[in-house]
Amino acid sequence: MSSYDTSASYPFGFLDEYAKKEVRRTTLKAVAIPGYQVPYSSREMPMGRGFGTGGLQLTLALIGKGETLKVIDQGSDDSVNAVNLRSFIEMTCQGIETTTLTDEADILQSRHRIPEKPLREDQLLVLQVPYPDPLVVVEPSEDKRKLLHGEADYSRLLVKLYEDIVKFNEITISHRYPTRINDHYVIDPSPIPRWDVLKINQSKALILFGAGREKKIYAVPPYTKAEPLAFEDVPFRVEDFTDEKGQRRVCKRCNCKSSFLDEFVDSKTGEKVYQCSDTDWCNEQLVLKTDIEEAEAVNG
Amino acid sequence: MLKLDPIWQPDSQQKQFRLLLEAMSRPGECYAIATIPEDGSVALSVLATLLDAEVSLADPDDLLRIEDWPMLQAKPELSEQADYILCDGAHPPDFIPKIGTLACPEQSATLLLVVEELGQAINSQSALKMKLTGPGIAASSILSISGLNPEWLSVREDWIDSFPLGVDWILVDKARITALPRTTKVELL
Amino acid sequence: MGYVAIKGGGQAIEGTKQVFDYLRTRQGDTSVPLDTSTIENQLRLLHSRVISEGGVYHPRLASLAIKQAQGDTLEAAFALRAYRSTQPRLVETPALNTGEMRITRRISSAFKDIPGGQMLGATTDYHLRLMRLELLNESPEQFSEIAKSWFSGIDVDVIPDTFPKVLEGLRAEGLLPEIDQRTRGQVPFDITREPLIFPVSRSAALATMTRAEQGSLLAMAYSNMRGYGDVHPTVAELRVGYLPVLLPHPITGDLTEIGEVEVTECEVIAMYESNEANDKPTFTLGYGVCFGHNEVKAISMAILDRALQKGMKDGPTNPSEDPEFVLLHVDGIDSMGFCSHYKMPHYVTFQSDMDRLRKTQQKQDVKEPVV
Repeated sequence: MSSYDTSASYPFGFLDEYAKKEVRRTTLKAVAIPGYQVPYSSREMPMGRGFGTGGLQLTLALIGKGETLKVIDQGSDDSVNAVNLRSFIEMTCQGIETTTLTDEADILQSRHRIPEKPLREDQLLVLQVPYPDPLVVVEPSEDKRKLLHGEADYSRLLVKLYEDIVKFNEITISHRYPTRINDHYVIDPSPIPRWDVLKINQSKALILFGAGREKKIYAVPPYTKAEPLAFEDVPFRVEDFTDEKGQRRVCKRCNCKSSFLDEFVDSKTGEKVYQCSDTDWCNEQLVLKTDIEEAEAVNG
Repeated sequence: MLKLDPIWQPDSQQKQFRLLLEAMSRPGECYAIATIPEDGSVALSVLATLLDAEVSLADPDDLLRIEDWPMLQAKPELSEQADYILCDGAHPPDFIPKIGTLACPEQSATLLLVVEELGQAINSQSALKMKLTGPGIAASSILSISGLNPEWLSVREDWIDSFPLGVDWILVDKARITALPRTTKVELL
Repeated sequence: MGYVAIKGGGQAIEGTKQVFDYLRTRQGDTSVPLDTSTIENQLRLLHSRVISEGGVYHPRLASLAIKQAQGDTLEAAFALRAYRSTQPRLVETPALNTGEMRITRRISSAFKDIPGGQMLGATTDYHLRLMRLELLNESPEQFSEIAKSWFSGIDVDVIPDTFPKVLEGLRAEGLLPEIDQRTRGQVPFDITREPLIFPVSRSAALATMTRAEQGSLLAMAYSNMRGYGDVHPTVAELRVGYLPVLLPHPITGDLTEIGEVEVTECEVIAMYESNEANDKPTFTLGYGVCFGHNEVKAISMAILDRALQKGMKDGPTNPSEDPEFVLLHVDGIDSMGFCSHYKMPHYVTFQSDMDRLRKTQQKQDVKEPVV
């Protein structure tokens, strides 16, 4: 475990009860007004702003003894940000369990990915958000942006997307794709790839978004419409994993053809490798792959 | 030695809050209260979970006891200005709560309505039966409430008419809670 | 207890803690660990800065923060701020009167002489910034001799504890705006409890600036001083000293001093303006105050206070008058955290970026096929 002093007397969940109540009240209003960024005071945490303090405050205010937590970053439980957050939550929430299995988690806190496996009604997803407001790119004043959001006036954002199309023949937004919730507020869904944006629509699980530095919480309730902004003649498209020959790339480890893949250079062989970003999904698929291979070996 | 009723203790408040969050996320679904107070009403246990000195509370129907107020810490306020309003669902409403502004829709009241009974199907002549649609509900759901004056539903229509402005409701009976955020469309059956 | 086992990422993090502490301790056999009291006394102004940016007056922990952060002021302030987050709020003092400060330094640029006199105190303003090479080999004996001999020959009884406020004189003459009685009894904005929702009150601006990062505040104020702004300030008074902290006695209710905190306070006078149509014009004021001894910060804050008041009233005409621009970018914990976050893995988002660029390049190729 971590080398920090765990005997310091912090309350369960590190935050004092007033801080937790404020987060909880804010969250309820966020759920009642889908996609609206509700301001809150956002306490300082021992990790830096930008390292997930918003998502962390949500988890700390919500989690209870006996619950199971999964923390991922870039889809992986072992990525440094996830490791750091998970040890902190373990240290300050005595009585919770942690897991790498998506299936076992009651609460999942994630940076930059939504798990490949669809979440259930009894699960809760907390996403870490650096920039909560999609209108920042067209209007620097928060004051003015709030009115635009209130009126659902996203014309300047659409013009910006259109300018992209004129220039590049494509909408060039990669991650943080602006998505309209319940026909009103357009959100920044956090830096998840376009691949994951469609999972927000009609999700069985509640999805909460925490921006610690910007001090906002927003939410997409379950069974809620979430539409990425697009034009009739330029539809929304997810990332393309086909190779030069037109074949869909597969994960080198588990053979999966349907997941978001990380692309990197193997530090030992020097060759380009494609592997599932979602490590738990990859483990599950690997078991399936092994089962299939064994079955084939037996049947000849 | 001062022994705190569980409704004031952090562990129970965490559990209670999760139910409130479920309720607001899945309007019309009824959830059994996590912690029935040893001393005090079910409504008190909901208020205890949410309130502290940073928010204001109105109690126009005098449902709280004098001794409840210091524990809640909330500032007493008029119904028109309050962040949280505790109401007897049987009486018709006689105030207009804060419904927020275009820029700040969250600066709106949350109403806690005390009713006779909540459920999917209730054995009562006067029960209001309604069909619910909107965020949080897969397709549609049915909710029945007894002990709610029907005028509440018509003023609610006015209050939530201009999204994002609106108010959000939590309803309690003797043992359960349900919630109706401003986004839920209610059709009386 | 079911916990996830530490693997690659976890071990790497453990390694960083070990090498960080190695760097702190590798000085050699003759070295001794830094003493927190040494930091508080011999690095007094660094210590002041960290207390101010940490936002909690805890001298011992501020020293510890500097020690564990190996001198990084942003990290040290961060550790203090995070510590403050864990402390429950017990009680709030009434507004404290800086007129009651036990003064260690007090000057006014507005007047040649003032009631009580100009007391320069421990300022470096008039020092020659030459390297004091004799300090390279300062012996413990020379060191302790300085403090021992300082008081000899001084009649401490002659030194006043406090001084009247310079502004009171100007106020009596009608040169300053009347104090707005509506502000008496108003609850000040609590930066630790409420988020900034623009437009913000002056109280919120001051609360943000008092624990802002010194360099950021200075840069913003400097832009105003240099000509992007209109403040043209004169320092009416700068005072450094110890402010008594008063709380009501639990039984009698009388205000009782429970301790004192070192603060630096600056009041600047700026261009005069008319208040309402028929009122006489008066000078305008800017106010700055912070924990510890930090004059650059207090002066910068006072100048920005004036600039922001003008910006909030008439609309900003330059960045230093724009509350959103100033207040959202001067908090050191927020800014350093976000700056540092760029070092975290971003490969999924980059994967997404590569996809977009490749697609766009493909479309470009299709439009203009290479012949």
